[in-house]
Amino acid sequence: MTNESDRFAHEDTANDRWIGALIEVQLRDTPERVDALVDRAMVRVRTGSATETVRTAGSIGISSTSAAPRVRRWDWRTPVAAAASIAIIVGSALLFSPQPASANSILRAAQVAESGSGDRRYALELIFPARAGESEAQAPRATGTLDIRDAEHVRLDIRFQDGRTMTRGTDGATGWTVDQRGEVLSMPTDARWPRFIETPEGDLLADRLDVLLADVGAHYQIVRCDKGGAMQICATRDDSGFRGPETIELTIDPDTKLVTRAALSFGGPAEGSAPANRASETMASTGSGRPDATTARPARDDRPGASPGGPEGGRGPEGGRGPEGGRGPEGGRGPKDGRGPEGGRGPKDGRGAEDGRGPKDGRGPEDGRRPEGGRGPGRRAEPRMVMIERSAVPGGAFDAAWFSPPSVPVRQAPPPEPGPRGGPGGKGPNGPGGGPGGPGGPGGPGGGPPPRGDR
Amino acid sequence: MSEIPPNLRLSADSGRGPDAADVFAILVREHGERLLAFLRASVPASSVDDIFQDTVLVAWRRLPDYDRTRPFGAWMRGIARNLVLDYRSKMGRERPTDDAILDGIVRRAEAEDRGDREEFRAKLVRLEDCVARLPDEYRTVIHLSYRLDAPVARIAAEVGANVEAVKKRLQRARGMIATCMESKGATA
Repeated sequence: MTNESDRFAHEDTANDRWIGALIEVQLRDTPERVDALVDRAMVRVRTGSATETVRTAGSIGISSTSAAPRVRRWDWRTPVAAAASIAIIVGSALLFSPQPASANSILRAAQVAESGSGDRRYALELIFPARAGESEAQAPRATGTLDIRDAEHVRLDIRFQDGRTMTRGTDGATGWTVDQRGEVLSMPTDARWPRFIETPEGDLLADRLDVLLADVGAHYQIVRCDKGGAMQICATRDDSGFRGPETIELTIDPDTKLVTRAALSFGGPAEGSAPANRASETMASTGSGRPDATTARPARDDRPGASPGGPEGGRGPEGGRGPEGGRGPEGGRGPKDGRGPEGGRGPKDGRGAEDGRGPKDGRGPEDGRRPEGGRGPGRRAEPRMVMIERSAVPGGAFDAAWFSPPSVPVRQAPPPEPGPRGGPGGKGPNGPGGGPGGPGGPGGPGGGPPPRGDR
Repeated sequence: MSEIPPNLRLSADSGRGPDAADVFAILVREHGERLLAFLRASVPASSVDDIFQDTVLVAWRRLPDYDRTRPFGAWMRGIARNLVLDYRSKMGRERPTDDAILDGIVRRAEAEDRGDREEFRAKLVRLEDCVARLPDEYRTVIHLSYRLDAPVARIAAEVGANVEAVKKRLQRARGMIATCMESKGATA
C-alpha cells in the first residue's frame, strides 16, 4: 500500500471512529453525566489528590502512584472551603427553585455536604444471597458498625449470624485485626478493606461518600423516589463499564443534605426501591430477550483498530472478574463472605490476567462469585445488599484509643497473596484453610476492546 | 481569545482556592462533551472515564503552564492526547498506525473548537436525526450496537447475517451518518 493510500485509509478510519464516538456521546454522555464526571474530577482536585489517579474498571495506570496508601490521607480543609462556596450556590439554587429539587441537584448538594470530615458512625447491615430453597427473608445477614474519624482512623466491627465476628481497624500507625481466637494481629495500614465498604476505586466507601455520590452521578440513572416523606434518590447503574452496585438507594436529610442511609444492591433492585430500569426498556424495544446489556456486556470487537489476536491483550469492558476472595474448603472457614479478616483478594479490580479470555463475555461469573460448585459447602458469596445508615457517635466523639489495637499485636496477619487470577483463597480466622483463588477474571480477547469500530 | 475572565486568577499553585477551581470546573464542563468525543474515538469505552478524569487532574496541575491566549479545549485535548498515547503504549498497541489515526481524530476534534457546548449538542441532535433516517437494516445494527451495546456476534445472530457482514454494515451506516451530517451543514 502506498503512503497516499495509507493516508486515506487512516483518514477513513479516523472519520469512522469519530462518527462512532459522536453516536456514543449522543447516547451516553448527557449533559448531566458530563457534569457529574466533571464534579467527580473536581472532588479530586479540591481534595488535593490531583496527583493520584482513581481507577475504574477497565483502566490501566497512567499516573497512579501505586505505592500510595489505599486509604488516602487528605486535607479536609480544602474541600470544606471549596464546599462552602459551592454549597452557597447549590443551596441558593435549591432555595429559590420554584420546582421541587431534581435528583441531580439533590445529589450535588449531598456531594458537597458529604465532603466534610469528623467522627462518624455508620450502622451496617449485610444481606447475603439466600441458599437454594431459602426464601429471601431467610437469607443470612450480618450487622456491624463502621467508625471513621478520617482516612487513617477507621474501625470495622461485623457480627455474623453464626456468632463469628470480624473486627478490624487502623489508627494510622498500626493496622490490626482480631482473629476468631481473640488474638490481635497486625496488618498493613493500607491493606484492602472488604469490597462492600470500598468504592470501586478503592476508597473507603463511608469515608468518601462524596466520591460515591460523584460515581452515582456519573454512572447511574437517578430519579427522585421519595418514600414516606423522606427525600430519596434511586440510582440504577447504566454504565456497564463501571464496577459498582447495580442499584443504590440514598436517603438524604432534606436540611443538611447529608446521606442518612444508603442501600447498595449488588444483585438486583434494592428492596422496596423502584429505580428506573433502562435495561428493561431497551430489551422491550427490540423484543430480543437478550440479557441486560448493562450487566452482561461483552468485549467489543467491532471497533476500528481492533486487531484480533493482537498484542494488546485487552480486556472485556468489565474486565474479567473472578471471585474476589477465594473460598476455602472445609475447615478453613472464614467469615460468611468467604474471606478472612482481610479477604484474600486478587488484584484490585478482581481481574484476571489481561491476556486471558473468559467465556463469552470476558468476565467471570456475573457478580464476581465463583460458581456454586466452586466453593465449599455453606460458604456465602459477597453481600447481595449492603445497608449503610448514619448513626450517632457515642458521646459525640470516639476515644483516641478506639482506633488502636486492643492489645499489642501478637503477630502479623497472613497477607493476601494476589494471584494472577482472582487472588488466593482468603484465610479463615479459624485456620489456614483458605481456598484457592477463584477462577478469576478472564481478560478480554487479544486485541482488546478498542474504540468502536468492527469488533 | 481567552476564555478566562482576566480578573480571575487561574493558578493551581498560587491561586488554588474556590475561585480558581470553580472557573476551571466551568471551563472543563464547557469542553466536556468534546473531550469525551475525542476520547471515545481514541480509547476503549471502558477507559474513557478514567482518562477523562486523568486529563482534568493533569490539566489542573499544569494550569500554570496554560497560555490563556490559546483555546482551553485544544490545550486540554493536547493533554488528553498524551494520556491516550501513554495508555496505548502501556497496552502494547502498535504506535505507527495509531498515531496517524489519532492525528486524524485530533483534526476532527479541532473542527469542533469553533463552536461552543451548545453548538456541539445541537450537532448531536442532528446526528440523531441522521440515524433516524438510515434505512432499516442500517438503523437496526446501529441501535443494537450503540444503544444496546450488543457485540457483533450477537447482532449477527439477531439480524441473520454473518459477523463480517455486520461489521461492514456498521461501517457503512457510520459513513451514511457522516454524509447526512455534512449535508446538514454539520461537518463530521
